Amino acid sequence: MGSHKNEYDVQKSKIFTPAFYVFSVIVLISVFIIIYRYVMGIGYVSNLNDGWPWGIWIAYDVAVGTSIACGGYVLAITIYVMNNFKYHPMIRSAVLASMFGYCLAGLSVMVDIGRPWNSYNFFVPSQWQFNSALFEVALCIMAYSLVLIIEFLPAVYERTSTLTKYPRIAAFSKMGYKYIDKLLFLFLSVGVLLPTMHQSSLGTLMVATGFRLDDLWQTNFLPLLFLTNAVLMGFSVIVFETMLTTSLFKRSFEKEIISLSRIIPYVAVAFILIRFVSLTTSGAWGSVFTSGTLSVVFWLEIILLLIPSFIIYATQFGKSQRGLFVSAMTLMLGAGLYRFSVYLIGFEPGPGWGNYFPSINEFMITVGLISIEIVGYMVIVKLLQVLPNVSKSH
Amino acid sequence: MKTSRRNFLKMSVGAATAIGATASILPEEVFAADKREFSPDAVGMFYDSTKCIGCQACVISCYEINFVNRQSYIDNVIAPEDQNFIEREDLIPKLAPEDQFNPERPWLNVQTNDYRFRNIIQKYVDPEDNVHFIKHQCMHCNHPECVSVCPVTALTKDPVDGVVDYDANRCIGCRYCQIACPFFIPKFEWKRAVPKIVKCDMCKSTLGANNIAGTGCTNACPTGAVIYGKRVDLMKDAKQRISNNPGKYFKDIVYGEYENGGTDVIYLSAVDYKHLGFDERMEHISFAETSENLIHTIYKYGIAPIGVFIALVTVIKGNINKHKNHDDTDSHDNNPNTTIDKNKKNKGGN
Repeated sequence: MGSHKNEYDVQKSKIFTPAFYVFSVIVLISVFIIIYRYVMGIGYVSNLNDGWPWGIWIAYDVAVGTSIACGGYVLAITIYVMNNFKYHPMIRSAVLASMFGYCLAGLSVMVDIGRPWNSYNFFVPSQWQFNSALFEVALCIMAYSLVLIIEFLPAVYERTSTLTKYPRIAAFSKMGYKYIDKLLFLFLSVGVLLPTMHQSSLGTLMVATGFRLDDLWQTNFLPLLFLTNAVLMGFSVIVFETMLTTSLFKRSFEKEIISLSRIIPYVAVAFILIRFVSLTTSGAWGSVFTSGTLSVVFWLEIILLLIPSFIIYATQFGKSQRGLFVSAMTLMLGAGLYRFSVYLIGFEPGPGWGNYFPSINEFMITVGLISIEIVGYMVIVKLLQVLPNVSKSH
Repeated sequence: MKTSRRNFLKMSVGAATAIGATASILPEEVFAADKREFSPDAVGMFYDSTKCIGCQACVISCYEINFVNRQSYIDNVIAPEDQNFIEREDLIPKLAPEDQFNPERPWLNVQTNDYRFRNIIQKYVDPEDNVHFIKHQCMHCNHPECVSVCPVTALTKDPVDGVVDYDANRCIGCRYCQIACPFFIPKFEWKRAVPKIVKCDMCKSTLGANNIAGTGCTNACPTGAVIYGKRVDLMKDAKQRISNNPGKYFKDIVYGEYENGGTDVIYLSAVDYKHLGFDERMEHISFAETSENLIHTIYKYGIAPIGVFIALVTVIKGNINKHKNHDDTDSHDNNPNTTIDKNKKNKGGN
């Protein structure tokens, strides 16, 4: 059962760091705001209104958040579908981050929707609605969160199976580990299929809005664009995350990440090409310079992807620790901005509604959810064998 | 690495072409006209802007029936003991703080349809200082975006009378209907802990399912600017008015005959509808049709997801087994680097 034991390592450092306390306080504040929202109503904590029914809770937490959580998805494809097992030591940290990302997107939806107690309707077959992209997104995100938790369980079981004080828990953990290991191919297959489905459906979702989404973004290619965007985001996030843990936890540089980052320029260029094809089919080239702020956002999206792609593809700086970190971060900004545009910036609220900017409380809830992710990640990597074992010679 | 990257690229290119091909055959299917037929018994409303005097009797009538006294009206339709406690709670009219009595501004503040007003009258003054009114409420589209996008079927279109109705007992409050409606109609109770979507249901919930007499607004209208009836009859009436008064109405069109795939509520007006709050980019086919075609092309019979799943299971299982075999030959000395090297050698051999 210890077949992967040497691949991962417990991060040996203090759990209760100053950062831990800072983020925990932010989480507490946001919990109070969430309680206030449930007692009073959404309108009391947010700047959402009938013109802007969806704000950052959907645009950031769900649309961008789940794409940031695609690290596990792309790494699973790279390792298990493309047969690159040399990246295998990186999978656990990626799955952990994805698990937090998806579960918190689900939590954010529960804060966002007005009548969450009716959510059981998603499981009532007579109320299923196959015309709705949101129906598919919701079911897939719920299912995928579950799959991610299962995929991460081995790390927990490894720890609990050594609890000699509680032989029952230890025995159960050993059994659980064995079964998950046996059925891993099934969970992995579902875990690759589900994001493919709902990441594209996140794009399909906005097709129904017709002219309410600006021409620069409205296209029947939205599903393909969102899928490509998710893959791009996934690779960028893995690079970003690895660089971050390397510098924060003062670990040695994982050289595998350089070869993994080589794929990014290709995905980015593919995304931009599809984007250009979609502009051609929807005849929107006319508005790429004439839509004011929207045109600026459009070009910003493309520049934020092209420059870091070039750096990674052609320069020596793109192979350095700092170069990779900066490039990955820029790529994430560009890919995230695209999703933000589709969900917020390019959206037409209707006559007389003006602009939307999140309120402080609204913002704090999102920051709180991100903080849960950061605190959870920091604590778990110090308790369980998650991060790649870099002490071995390469 | 090189081999696998090439493989990955090949596969991505393959996938992209496959999806691209699907997308390229889409337009024909997607942009075909909306084939949905209207129910012969569909009811609707017909608003003639040239007859409206802007008295807003319809607004107040609707406000009284569907907001202020909603509870007593609904009690006539559904017995109170048949309503659950959330439904009872939903019926209590609750004003948002900004709409409550304010001694400095004691008048009603109505800008647009909101959680109180399911229909409103708006005014447009043209360059010649002529005043035109327009009544905004749910259009009861024949192929409504809101019904199409609702993930839990809380919004439904009645197959017989065509009314687009809302069931708060199913609604999860996701507000996708608000995002998708091209007429900007569904409204949400933002300042409420138990919020619901508010939109015109042709008084079906309050005046009863088969009201022959008309809706709150049509009953209140003193000039007959808005009338209630079967859509076919209303359409005939509208066409008659156009042929009786050539040149009086904008482009001699009945708004709602084809707009957004056709609507049960139809309009006549003397000015361009873009001045009256209707978007110019409205098409003759519902955006719901476009998105449904896209979804059902991608997921036709579930072929794509099932096929992808089977392929994934095969490939992943094979790769894991390959990897495990190497582990075994390494006699549990699990060094991922040596494993990869062996994989590479194997590939080279093939």
